[in-house]
Amino acid sequence: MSNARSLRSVVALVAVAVLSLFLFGSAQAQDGEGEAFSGTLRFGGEPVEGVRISVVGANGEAVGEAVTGADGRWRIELPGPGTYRATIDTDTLPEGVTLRDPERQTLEVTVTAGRSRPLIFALGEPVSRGPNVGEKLAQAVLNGVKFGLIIAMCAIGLSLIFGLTGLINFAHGELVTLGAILAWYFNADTFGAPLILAGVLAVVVAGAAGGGVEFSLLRPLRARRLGMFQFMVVTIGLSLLARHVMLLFFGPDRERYIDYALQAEWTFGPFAVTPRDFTIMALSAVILIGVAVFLQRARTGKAIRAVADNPELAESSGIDVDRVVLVVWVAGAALAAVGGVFFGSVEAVDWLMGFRLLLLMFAAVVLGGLGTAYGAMVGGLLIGLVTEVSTVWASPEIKAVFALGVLVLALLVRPQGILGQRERIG
Amino acid sequence: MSGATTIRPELTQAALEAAPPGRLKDDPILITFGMLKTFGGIRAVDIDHLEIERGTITAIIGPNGAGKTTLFNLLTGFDRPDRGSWRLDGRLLGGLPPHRIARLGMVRTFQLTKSLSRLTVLENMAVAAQTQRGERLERALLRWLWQPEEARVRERAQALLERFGLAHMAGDQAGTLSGGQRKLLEMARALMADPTLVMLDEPTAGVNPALTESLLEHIRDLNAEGVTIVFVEHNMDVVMDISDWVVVMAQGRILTEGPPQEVVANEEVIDAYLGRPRDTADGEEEGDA
Amino acid sequence: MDFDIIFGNAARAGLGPQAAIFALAAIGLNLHFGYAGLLNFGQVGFMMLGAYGTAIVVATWGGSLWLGIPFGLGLCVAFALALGIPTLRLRSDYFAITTIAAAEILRLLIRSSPATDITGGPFGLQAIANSFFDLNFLPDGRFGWGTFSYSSNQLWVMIVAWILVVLCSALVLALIRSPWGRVVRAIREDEDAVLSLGKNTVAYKLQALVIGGVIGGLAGVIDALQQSGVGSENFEPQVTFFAWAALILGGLATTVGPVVGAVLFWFLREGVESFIRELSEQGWLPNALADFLDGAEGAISIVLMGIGLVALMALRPQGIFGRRRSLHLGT
Repeated sequence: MSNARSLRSVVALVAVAVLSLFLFGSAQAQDGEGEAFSGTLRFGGEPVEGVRISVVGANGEAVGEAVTGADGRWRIELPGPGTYRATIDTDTLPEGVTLRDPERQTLEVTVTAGRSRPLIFALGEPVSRGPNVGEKLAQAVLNGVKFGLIIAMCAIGLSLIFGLTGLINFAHGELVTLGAILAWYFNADTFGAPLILAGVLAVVVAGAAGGGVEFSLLRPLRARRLGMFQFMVVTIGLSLLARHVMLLFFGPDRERYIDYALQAEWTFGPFAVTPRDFTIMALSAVILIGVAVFLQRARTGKAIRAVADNPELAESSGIDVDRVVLVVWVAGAALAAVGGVFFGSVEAVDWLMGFRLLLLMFAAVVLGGLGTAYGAMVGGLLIGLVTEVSTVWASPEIKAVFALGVLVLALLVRPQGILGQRERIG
Repeated sequence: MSGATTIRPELTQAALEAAPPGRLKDDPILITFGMLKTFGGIRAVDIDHLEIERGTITAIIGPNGAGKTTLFNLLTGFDRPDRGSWRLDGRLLGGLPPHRIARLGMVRTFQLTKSLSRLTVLENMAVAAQTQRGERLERALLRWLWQPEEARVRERAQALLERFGLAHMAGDQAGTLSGGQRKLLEMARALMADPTLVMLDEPTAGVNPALTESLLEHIRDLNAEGVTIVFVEHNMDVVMDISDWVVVMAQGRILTEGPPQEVVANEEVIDAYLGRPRDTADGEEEGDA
Repeated sequence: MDFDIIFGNAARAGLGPQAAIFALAAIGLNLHFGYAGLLNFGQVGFMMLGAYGTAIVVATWGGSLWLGIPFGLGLCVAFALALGIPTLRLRSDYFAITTIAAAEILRLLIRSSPATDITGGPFGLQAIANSFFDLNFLPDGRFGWGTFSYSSNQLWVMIVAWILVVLCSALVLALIRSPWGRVVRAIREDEDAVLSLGKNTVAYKLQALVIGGVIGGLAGVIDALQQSGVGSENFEPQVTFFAWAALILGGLATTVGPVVGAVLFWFLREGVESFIRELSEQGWLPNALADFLDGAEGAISIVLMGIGLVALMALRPQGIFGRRRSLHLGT
């Protein structure tokens, strides 16, 4: 997830490097006058003027010096083939401009006869290379919070549905995908609606779909007292069905929304975030707080908690359990769809995204305490943080492994979850 | 009283002498000290000292939420106390898992009957046998190693079913039995495990009067064979009928104990039962569900 | 419309190596859930370990296939212990969630670049089954009629695989009829009751998990042999669901259920796909629909499978061959 971002910057970097090689390669071919070092200093796309670069020979003897021009270019002729050390004088860099990698202030380069070698002193924000773990950590924490909030939002419905009806909904991930894909249809495919409108429409449709499944399929089956296992199989069937219907219509490729695709990052100290991601995090937080307030204050919210606590008691005290379950299905599906749109915005939309996310949602709800909304929130945030922070040290491909590690650890220490009620399990 | 301290090493001489009348038993099979279990700050069980006399029938009574089932769960290892120690025949049981405690001879039944529905009645009985070494995986495929013992197990199971009037249903799935028959089966199954101490959690709950009579008869017979019996009961007629000793619990503590006739005359007991309405929160009683 | 082709394809799949592999996986699941009540949703993890364990010994370490297979099955034992010891004390739904997560995460680990040196990462491992096919005594050529035919090597895999299916079915049957099996089935009904009778239920559940997992591992070994290689994309969580579908189709807690179910599953799946292919090839359909169906038969058969599972649970929750009575005795 975050690796996609850093991957993008790495790709961009490589592209720039290759491109500049090309440019200088041809420039030098025109010159064709023996050995030289040359290059262009740029910062944020703008040439940097007045920076001194000096070259010494193998024995430390000074060879030449150059100062970049208004176009950021510099060139130093060399006495002949051999190995030279080029150093950029960082004191001459303008205020606020630094080397991307401080260790590459001096470059040792071998030049063959008749060749001009382009040298790149990359300026700008340090990339995730070298020992600046602190900054990587800060960025990972930010990403962790971002994905954690999204996972939490997706998982609330999963956890509450389990709390109310004892059902593990294997098709919950498909609600996430449904939201993301519908928004893509409204936004990028046919209608060209702005993403915000498309997202709202998608969320409404997904909420209705969730309510429809509960009302027309699960409620009648509950009335027939189907066992937990049979219900699991029903949701597995639904998941296979929904996922592959979406595959049929959407296809196997990854797609992106039209709006907010490319944005410059805002930086706050060690944190860099695009306005889009910032908005998503803020919206997620607001929605989660809204859910919490709803559960605490609203009549229906209190009823949800009462049913989750003890369905029989709630029913006998006059709560319409079926209605409460329906509300949770609609709201849970809608929240999952919101998560899907956000996730599709941050990453990309594809037919398997929800199913992949389902495992993290499972980890989140078990970690936080199966059956509670707050557990899903806390668990989601924790899973998001753990997976993202792990990428500071480990390969991003295996970040989900850390989610499981935390899960197993939690099961050993506190099987009822972080916020789960202490009861005998098993 | 030196004998009294050797079987109760946890207690000082002074504490022994301060024990309420009747608490010290001549030949206790089960001794409990300082047992505490809290659920979310509520003291579900808080018992300083409890002894069960060997070879007797002891009833534990008390209003709902008094901690009776929780006490059963703690003593049989199904739940862990916050603190406390207890001994069966002098052997400390703290920290042992439930199956180890059962193997030492303390076997329990459950308030909500736990019949093994899709096993036959005879299989229900056979599972309880402690002598079938074919239950070990490495012997399971070596039929000749367990076949002879299996014949003996079946014979014993059949005899017990005969005694409990279930023999004609031996081949039926246990799930097809009526509620009362399941109670009988559960008791017969507990016996199959060769216990020295049987803990029955509401053996007559939901059983019709005729079957109740037969259940009580079985409890008496068992006791006559030397098995110690502890049971939780709400029906005071049953308690008066068969128990030798009654322990009254309220709010996790032992209110009083004594012979049935004395206990029913006790003012405190009457208050506990009548002065306070039975509280509706029987979550604790269903804790094992 | 050529029904010979469709039926031939369906029959080839229903009796082929894939069906035998799923039968093995379902036999393991049947021991797990049908008899011991363990909701294992990570059976594909065991299959993957069996397959990769075998392949790693042969392709990565240059060892013998006959060492690789026990190594793969040993990994299954280790996985069962690692999975079971922390989670078997917990409620069955926690176990279900942990197993599905563990299997998928194992797959992500196997296909990750740090593991590439050992597992081949996203490329998998190839050419591992030569010493298995060296034992093939069948003559070259094809065996069968029309589309219902197999190559010599396929037939060789099938013979071995179906023999293993019979052996594993017999093993599970013998175990279940033993006193050990009685305790295991009792645990499925009510674990607390069995605990109160002095049985170490966690140990029994762990043993059942290991045995069923190793049988699942065997399924993976056969899969690795028949493809003469392994790839992580063959072990997605979906596979576990398909094995469950086969088991449910055939019937839980019966000896032949998983086998019949696996045969039926592949017969139906390939039958449907073949039918759809024929439909679009015959040109009976409007072009738009034919275009839509083209290449989509795999997804459509899974869509139908999903509908089938939902309908089966709604209409016959005990499975096609199950008895209604014994369902209601359970909880």
